[in-house]
Amino acid sequence: MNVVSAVFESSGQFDEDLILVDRFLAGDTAAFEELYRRYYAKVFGLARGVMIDAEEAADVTQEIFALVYRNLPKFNRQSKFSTWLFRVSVNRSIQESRKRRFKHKHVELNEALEQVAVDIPTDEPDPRVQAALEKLAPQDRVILTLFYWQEMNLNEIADSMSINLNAAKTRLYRARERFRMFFEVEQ
Amino acid sequence: MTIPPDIDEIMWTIAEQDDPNAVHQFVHRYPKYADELYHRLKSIDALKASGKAIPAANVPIFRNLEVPKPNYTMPIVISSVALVVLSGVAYFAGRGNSESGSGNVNPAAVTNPVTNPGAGTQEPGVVFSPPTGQGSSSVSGNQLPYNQQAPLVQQPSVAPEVPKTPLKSLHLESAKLYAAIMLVAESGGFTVNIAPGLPNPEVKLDYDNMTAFQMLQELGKTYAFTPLMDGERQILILPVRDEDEPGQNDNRLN
Repeated sequence: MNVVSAVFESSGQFDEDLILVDRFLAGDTAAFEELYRRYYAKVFGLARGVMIDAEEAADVTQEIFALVYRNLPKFNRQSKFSTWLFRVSVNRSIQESRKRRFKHKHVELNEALEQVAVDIPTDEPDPRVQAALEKLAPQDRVILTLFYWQEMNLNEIADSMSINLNAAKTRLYRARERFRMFFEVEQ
Repeated sequence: MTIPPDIDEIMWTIAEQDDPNAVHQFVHRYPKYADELYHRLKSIDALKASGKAIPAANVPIFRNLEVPKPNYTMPIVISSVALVVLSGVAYFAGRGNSESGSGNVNPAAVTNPVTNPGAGTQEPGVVFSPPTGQGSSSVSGNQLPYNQQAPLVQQPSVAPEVPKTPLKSLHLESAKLYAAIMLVAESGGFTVNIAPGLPNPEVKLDYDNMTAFQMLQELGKTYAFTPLMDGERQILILPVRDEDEPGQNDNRLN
């Protein structure tokens, strides 16, 4: 494939990530490392929002990138690389969250709540928020994370979750309502 | 309190924008919804702040599950070819010996067959027949002492013996074939060279209580390769399957 045409996705938008994708597919593993460095924080942020636990999120992030590494030759360039990456990340995070949901100990969260009720460390996520997120379905956590943490717009969220724009709006609305309900209980 | 959908939508929009003027105007216009707006502001603020509080992750090293492809150097290619030729020669020579040897064995020796308890090792009572054309070509049962077992005719193996390795179980949902081969080989303490031409598809491993070499043989049956000992702790993977003799290496497994 011509490199110049390769960097334009089907919608005609320039996607500089595709240069790195092409370099990686040509055998340059450093190009993948660059993609990894570029998107690690975002993927980790998403995984953290869905998994809640930081260690689990780090593990899932590694799994996501390993999956991307193996499946990059199958990337069909119908969307931006980042959209495809987020789609993989969303699916994998939800999958892992379902697998591990029984491992989460509500007791631990409650203990954490008691400990930090007086003084919430500024460099840690608010445990009340975590407790409320914990009670949501993984799909709700995904959409809240993408919208409020990753600051993605609804179009990008719809692409990342493989749903249409209206479905994204509806899901965000419902997730927001549920979150508020659980958050108020935690206060 | 039932909130009209349009008012609800406005409150969420204001909560997300977090604009003090908009808050002030809304409260001034709809005082009875002030408390509702306050709750939304609080939950959205907490949610946003929580996302920002996640520390900017130090990017750890990518734990790549792939194993780099082996370096196909000329010596490996030459040794592979030489090994194939040697294996072929040994195979046909062995076949010739077996056929000529079995024709010359005294019927008395085969009327009392024994099982082979020491496969792969030279037990007392096990006699290696000399190759055809280099001396006597048959062993007669009546030439042995009366208390000795009937002879087992066994060809000396050409390839190095497979060292005894512990039995292991290995389950792998998905991996590239090269990575799987290396993983299995390493589990038995072997190094491995893969000759060119072997495809590298996704594979699944599910082996119980087998040696590393046995696992490789099983894997080879599915993915068309043959593992051969190529030195004391080195295995050579040839991208060919020996279908003529499926149990060819069975007596060298453990």
